[in-house]
Amino acid sequence: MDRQTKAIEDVYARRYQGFRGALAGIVGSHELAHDVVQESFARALKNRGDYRGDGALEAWIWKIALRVAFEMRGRPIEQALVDAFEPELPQPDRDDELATALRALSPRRRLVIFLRYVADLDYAEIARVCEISEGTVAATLAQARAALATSLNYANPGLHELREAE
Amino acid sequence: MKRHETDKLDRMLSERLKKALGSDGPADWLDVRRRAGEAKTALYWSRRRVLLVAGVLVLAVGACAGSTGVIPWLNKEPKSVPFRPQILPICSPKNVQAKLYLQRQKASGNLTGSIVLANTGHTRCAVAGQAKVSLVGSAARATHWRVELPKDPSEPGPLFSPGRIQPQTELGMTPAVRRGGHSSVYLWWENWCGPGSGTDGFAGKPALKFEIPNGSKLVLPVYRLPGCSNSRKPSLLRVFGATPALPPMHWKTNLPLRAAIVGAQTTKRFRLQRGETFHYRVALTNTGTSPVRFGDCPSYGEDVSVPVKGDPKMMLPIIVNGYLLNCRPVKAIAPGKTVTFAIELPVPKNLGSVDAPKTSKFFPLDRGTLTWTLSTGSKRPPTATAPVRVDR
Repeated sequence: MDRQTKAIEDVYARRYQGFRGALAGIVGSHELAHDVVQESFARALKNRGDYRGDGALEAWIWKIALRVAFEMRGRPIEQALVDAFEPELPQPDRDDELATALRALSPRRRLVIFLRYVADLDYAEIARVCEISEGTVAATLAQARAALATSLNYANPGLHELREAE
Repeated sequence: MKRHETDKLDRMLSERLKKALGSDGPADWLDVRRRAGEAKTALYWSRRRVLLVAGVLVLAVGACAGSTGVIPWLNKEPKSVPFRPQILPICSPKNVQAKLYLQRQKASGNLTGSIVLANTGHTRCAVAGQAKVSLVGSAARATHWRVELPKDPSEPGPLFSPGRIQPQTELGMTPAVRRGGHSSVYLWWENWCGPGSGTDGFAGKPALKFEIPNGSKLVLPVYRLPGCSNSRKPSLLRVFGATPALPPMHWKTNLPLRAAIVGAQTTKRFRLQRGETFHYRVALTNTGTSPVRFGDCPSYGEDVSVPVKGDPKMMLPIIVNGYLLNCRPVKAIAPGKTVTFAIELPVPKNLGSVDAPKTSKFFPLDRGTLTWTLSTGSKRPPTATAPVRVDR
């Protein structure tokens, strides 16, 4: 087994649940999310020669995963990935209040929320996956976090951060 | 302080989201490698050149399908049926049970029916080879009769036999999960001029002895006998090939799929011509709220049945097929979406009256029904029907 195959397998072993959980939120089904994860890692394996090592391997695989998810939903990619998704919680929703709060967010904010809080990607990785700047990630995340905190009645220390970002 | 509180909010949101989305799921690295084409055997690599050519063909077909929105037909039978002898053990005689069903035709007094075989064991098993059928008992000894078996089990029979008689019939059934583990052998019985002719009830009737190569010797009491039409000729019992038991799927729940044969609602009756291939389309619609994803492609069964004259409630299958559904081009069917599959049905040249002119008049071939069923292993599999006629 070559080094890159081993590295991809390591990401899969460590991060399968994160990928599957976040993708379930994006594609709306645990079953489909599993399929997206499997297909994404398979493509990563097949195209491992394309990975230039100029960023985190996991972020590179995430980028593949978002494209696979898109393909599986049968929609053409006519706009930036970060704005194209209409993420949704899988049915049946396990947390109605959270689901309602998420649905109130814009697609871009929802995607960033999933990548940050479920996939556990850092700002740089989200920026790389979504092809936006880290500053935009920070602003989007702050806005999304503030909106969620308000909807869920959490204390929101990030409002100041949000104003700074705006 | 503010940073600390932000981190706390991050943690709360992360935990709540992960809980809502669930974190349990089956990781399967081997599946990933298989999908990537990296878990193949040496044999696979030796076949790469052949597969490359095949792949180009598939892509070409796929491109055609893409332009019409219809998934092309896959001329592939469920491979597990004919190849099962190497995999499944032969059924123990004690685990094979049989029931005899006979139906009288009001017009002729002849009988049609079937012997239904069932596996009562705990494991899946198979029966293979040609069955022997005979009549036993004093009534049988006192009457001139003969049994006609299919000459070649691999060739279609004259009228009732399935399009393809399987050399082996799988009796896959377990007590916990009953998965279509039965198989039927069709019968045609005419001209009984011995004791009990044309009557119902067990008294004074022969028994039907059914022997299969696994050693099962089943004696089935006959409760109904055909009428006598010519006392100078022997009674004729025709036995036709067993219908295949399609390999079961592992889905345990009913799928939210609705099947429909395209055009069945608007066309009066599809026409099937002997010796030609009938082309039709099946539309599968996801009626649920979640995408339906195909794993391994399921098989489907199709049959063409015709009513028996004088007993229109009884339908006799004249074509029975099983093929794999070409699900590879379909990753998933989204809720509310429909995917259309092209299906081809080879119509045997000798279907109908060629070899059985005397009996075929009892079966109106112009009033048949085509039934298509996805083999899901569930109690209510997606099924579609359409009226058909076989041109004489």
